[in-house]
Amino acid sequence: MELFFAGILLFIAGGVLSEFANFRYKPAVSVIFSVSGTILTGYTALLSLTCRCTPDITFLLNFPFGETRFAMDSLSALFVFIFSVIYLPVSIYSTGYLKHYNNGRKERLHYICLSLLISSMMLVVTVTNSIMFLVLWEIMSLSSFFLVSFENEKSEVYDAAINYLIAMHVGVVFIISAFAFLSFRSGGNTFDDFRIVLNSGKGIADLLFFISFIGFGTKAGFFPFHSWLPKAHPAAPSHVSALMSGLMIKTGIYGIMRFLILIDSPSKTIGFTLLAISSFTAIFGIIYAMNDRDMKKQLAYSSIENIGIIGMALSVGILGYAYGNIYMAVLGFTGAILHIINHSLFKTLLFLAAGSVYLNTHSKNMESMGGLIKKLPYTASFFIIAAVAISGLPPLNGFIGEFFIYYSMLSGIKTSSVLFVTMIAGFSLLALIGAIAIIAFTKSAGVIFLGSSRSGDTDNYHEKKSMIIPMFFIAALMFLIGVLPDKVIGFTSGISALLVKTDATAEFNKIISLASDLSIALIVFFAILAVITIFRAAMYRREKIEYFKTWDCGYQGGTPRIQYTASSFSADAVSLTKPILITRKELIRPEGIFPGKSGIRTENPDVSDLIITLFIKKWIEWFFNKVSVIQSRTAQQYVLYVIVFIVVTFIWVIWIK
Amino acid sequence: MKIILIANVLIILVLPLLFTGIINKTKAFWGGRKGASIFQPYFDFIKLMKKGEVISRVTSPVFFLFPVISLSTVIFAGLLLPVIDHAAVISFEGSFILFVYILALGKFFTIIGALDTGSSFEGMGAAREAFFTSIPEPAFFILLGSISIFGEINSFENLFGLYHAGSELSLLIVVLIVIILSIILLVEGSRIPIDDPNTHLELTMIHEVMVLDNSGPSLALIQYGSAMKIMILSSLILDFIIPYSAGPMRYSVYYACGLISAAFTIGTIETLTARFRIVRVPDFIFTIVGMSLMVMFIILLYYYGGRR
Repeated sequence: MELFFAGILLFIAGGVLSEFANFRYKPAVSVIFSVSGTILTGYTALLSLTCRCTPDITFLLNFPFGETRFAMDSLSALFVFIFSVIYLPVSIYSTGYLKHYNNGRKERLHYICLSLLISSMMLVVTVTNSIMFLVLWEIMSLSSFFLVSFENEKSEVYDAAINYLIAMHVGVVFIISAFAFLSFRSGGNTFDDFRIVLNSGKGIADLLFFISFIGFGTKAGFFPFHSWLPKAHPAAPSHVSALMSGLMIKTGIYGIMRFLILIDSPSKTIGFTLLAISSFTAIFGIIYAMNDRDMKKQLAYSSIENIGIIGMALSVGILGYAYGNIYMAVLGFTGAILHIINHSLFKTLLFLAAGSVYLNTHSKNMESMGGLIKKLPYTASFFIIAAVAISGLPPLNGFIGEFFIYYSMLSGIKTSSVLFVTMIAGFSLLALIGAIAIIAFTKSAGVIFLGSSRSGDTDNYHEKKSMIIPMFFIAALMFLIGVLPDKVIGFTSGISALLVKTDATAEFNKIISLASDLSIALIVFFAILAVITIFRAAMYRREKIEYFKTWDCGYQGGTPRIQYTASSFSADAVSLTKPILITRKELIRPEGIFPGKSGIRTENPDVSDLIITLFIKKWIEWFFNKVSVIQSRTAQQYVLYVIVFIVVTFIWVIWIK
Repeated sequence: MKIILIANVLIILVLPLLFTGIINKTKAFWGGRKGASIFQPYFDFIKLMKKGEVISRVTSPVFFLFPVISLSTVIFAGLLLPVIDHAAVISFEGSFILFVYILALGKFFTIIGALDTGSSFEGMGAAREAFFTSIPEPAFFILLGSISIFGEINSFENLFGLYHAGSELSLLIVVLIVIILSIILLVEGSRIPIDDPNTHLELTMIHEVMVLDNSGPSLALIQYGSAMKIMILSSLILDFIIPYSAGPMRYSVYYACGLISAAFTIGTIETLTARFRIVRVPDFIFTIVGMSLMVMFIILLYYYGGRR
């Protein structure tokens, strides 16, 4: 655990030192400190995962905190390990990415915020003191706020950042109230104190779970608290979006899982409600992702979808536990953990690839791209690999997580009739989500990278080594997890054991043998693929090849603009999603004998934004209008308030005490 | 056991083109023509393999890779599927999830391969393929998820235990399953009335338009793969029909008859019906979602009826 704190100190030292370093050496300083820091923290987490022990360290702090203990049980270790593994390539990537901005002042603040963000994320998942948790949570929100507002001279970036800040603070209110109630009732500040209160009655656990769920769900991006995600991710620089989408939103999931561990037997109510919310979140996210034409916004919506899938898996685990089917519970939690790991990997990779595209095209609108695979071959390959993985397709890591979620649902259908119906419903929804994800990601991979360029000028496009190597590192990890799932699952046994509160070794061994069967099958697939590829390549060398233009059915005047666009690609499928996807169309018709300008503009406002602007904002305005009566702006009246207050206090003290 | 597995691999690798040949022969028969020999697809395959290729300048390595990947996914899906005697070459719990997803991987690469040519026709075909084939997937999962309640474990081989249930209801379920799977076959295999593999107008095509720019060996691989896909899906239907108790020898006979009649049925449907207008296709495909929900409720009543 001392090594872990040494790592955290290295992060902060790196941030502070790069503040003072010469402009030219700044990236180098940052990289050296971040890399060495992640090695230390990752090593500690790996040790804790393998020995299934809980290293800890206690600080005696002043008044509000008291005794502050940082402990790394399997759950914390998993998150710290993911954070370390992903931050390592991202910190290298960030130096390459930032070179394009040449803005020394901003870059300086940037490294400090990055180091604060990663250290607060790692500390927030290890701390056991609720007050310290809230402080670190706040540091995390604030540092990421400054990172999002990197290009704050653009008004949309500024708006998105402010929106993010407000969403985070509305969310944290719910966490504070849950914690305040718990610490009031228990008289202590630590999570262990909370455990007793949470298990004192059935209703209390449910109520507090849902109150804190609003807070954690805002961070994670559950519907309807998600609307900051599709604004903040496109606004932030790409490595920051990668950190936020791949890692930071997982701290929300961590909070939910921590609550599930504290509650001895989560009720069926929690399970079913979470299942309903998560499946809607997932469907909602993927439908918006399928429709969106902004490449980073699409990725943000797909994060919402994946958070939904993680939530579905968690709720299957809860239901399995509540119905006494431990095998189903272990499978569900294992699926959730695998999907957490996998999503951090492929979402980070997608954002990094999108960043590499953005630096060249200076645009996020995929309609103006096309054919980038010729200029950015590595970026394109990594994007396609990650797109395959995020659609949940074998043989990559995305499939492994989804396989176990499917399987956990299947293993529950014999338990009870209610579970049969809900699990089959979840099962088919997951299939639908997967099918729509294929539409969404064939669209972005195809329109951004394949075909020919829609905007023409691509001559000076290039990619940099410092940005390619980190992407390669993540892609390699994805292949490893995809082919060797049993090894990864071995590490996660401790976490599932924490969540189901028993050791469940027998169930776990069954899962591991299932995973090794799966890995053998996937290796067979690779063998078949290799044989056919070699056969085809040998044939390719012999055959006579002629290069010609694409078949155009005899039409000679074709330009790249006649290619299928992103919106036309998804138009058919989008037409079926009306109740969920709101489309606003603005049509300017050609009018008169000599028609002037004409055109069409469509936008898809987010449902939860509409709810906020149409209803909640109105209620709040109405309420404060009523309250403003007491605000008369005359000094006499305020003096009167003071006197009334003092009198009331006197009476209260004398009569009641 | 080993012999059966080797036979399975051979069936999957060798028979698909014969299956196409029988479909074509049936169509010729109903059309009053003599028709090509049922071995004609083999000759076509060999001829295409010997040819050179015209490749668009717009394309990237994805264009070269996609026929290879989609063929390997179909072969692998064939290995996961029980063919003769309800025995699959690769079999483990939950293998049918992998079966669906590996076919989806092939679909993914076919779609981006089509987008790689930058042709608006192929983009259109890709969009339609992506949309139409996304509807059967949830239906298929409802179906397989529901019937997996009868098998002891959820592997493909043990899904077909319906005959053990042995009542009128199980017969009803089997009939519904065969209808649902037949529609899925027509969608995934791009046959009439969803799609017409032999049309000459690019605007109305779905699957065929996606491979407009492929020629020579890559076209051969694609045609071989799609023939194999249809045959695999037919075998899946036969798995539900052929009784569990038949031994390997009787099973092979049943299987051969079943395949021939499946090819004959497909050919007959293609002769008798015209293809739907594109806008009507989703309505048609949606019927299978309803039918699989019906299967689910029948099983719910059957399994949990009378107890909670």
